[in-house]
Amino acid sequence: MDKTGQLKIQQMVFMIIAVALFVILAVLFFFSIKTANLYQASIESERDKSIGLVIKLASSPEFSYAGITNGVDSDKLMALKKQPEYRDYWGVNGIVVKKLYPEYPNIECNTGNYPNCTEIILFKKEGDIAQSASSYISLCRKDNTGGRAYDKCELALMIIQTRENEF
Amino acid sequence: MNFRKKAQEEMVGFVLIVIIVSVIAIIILGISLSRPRNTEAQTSAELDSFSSAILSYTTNCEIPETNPRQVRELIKDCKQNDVCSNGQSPCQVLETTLKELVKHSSYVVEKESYTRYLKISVLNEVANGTYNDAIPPVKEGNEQECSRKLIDTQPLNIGLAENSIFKVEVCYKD
Repeated sequence: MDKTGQLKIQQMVFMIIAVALFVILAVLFFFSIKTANLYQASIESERDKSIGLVIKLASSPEFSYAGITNGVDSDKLMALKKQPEYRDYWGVNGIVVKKLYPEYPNIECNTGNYPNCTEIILFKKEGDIAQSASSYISLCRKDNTGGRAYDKCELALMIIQTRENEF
Repeated sequence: MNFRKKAQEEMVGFVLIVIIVSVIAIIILGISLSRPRNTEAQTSAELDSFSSAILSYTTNCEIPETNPRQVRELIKDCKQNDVCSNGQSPCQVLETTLKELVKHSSYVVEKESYTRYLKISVLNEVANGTYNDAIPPVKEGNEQECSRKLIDTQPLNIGLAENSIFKVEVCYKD
């Protein structure tokens, strides 16, 4: 009788351990899914924050194009390109604007080929591609048709190389 | 003998409990995996900047006596059935331009791309919270493949209707 009692206790202990293990596994599974979502949310938040930095730069008076939301003046960019003293003013390692559409010859812009070029490099730190953020902008300039001036805006990407711990 | 039979019964009972618990676990797991993921649309700063850039894009359509039209203005021209000076229809130019802009962005929908579906539409409010398409929407990809959706709306103050909006929907497959 005493032996049967011991066996029952052993059985119960075994069952409790099995159930506890199952619950632990289920909880671990649940939290691993939750943590994965949290990680994705943190990446997105970081991305939005870096895009915010680009938008802040694009809307500064030195870049912005009057009357166009999120518009950057390409003529101002070309003028700033010749001003190396501005490099430290922005607090970033590099500012590059790349035209996406319409398509132009894939060459860097200079006074000779502007506006028939793709990339306006204000300045950039060579080899530093790890920390960069980009956002879509309207790259605008004054053009004329039939003697009338108008705003010509194109789709472009503004890429900034951030300094360490910028975000 | 009686003791042996009782032990066998206990073992059968134990095995039954294990089987029942396993079946319940499999059912719960199955339900949680087959349940559609949260596809509730979210906003995105990147999509917002893309949407603004689209609206300001200058097209090659010139309505006589005006400057080349921006996408924002072309939407109104399309709705009013105007004609560009080169004979093209503003609706046709609008559709081609929107498709090209998407094609040159990170939102391009291709076989291997991360973006699985994109829809650009112009909506007019017809009643409180109810919207109708003002012009035919531009769609790419298959909405059924979505698991994460981003949405951006911009108000269009172009005199189309009381409240008209420019809406861009994008979705990804994780």
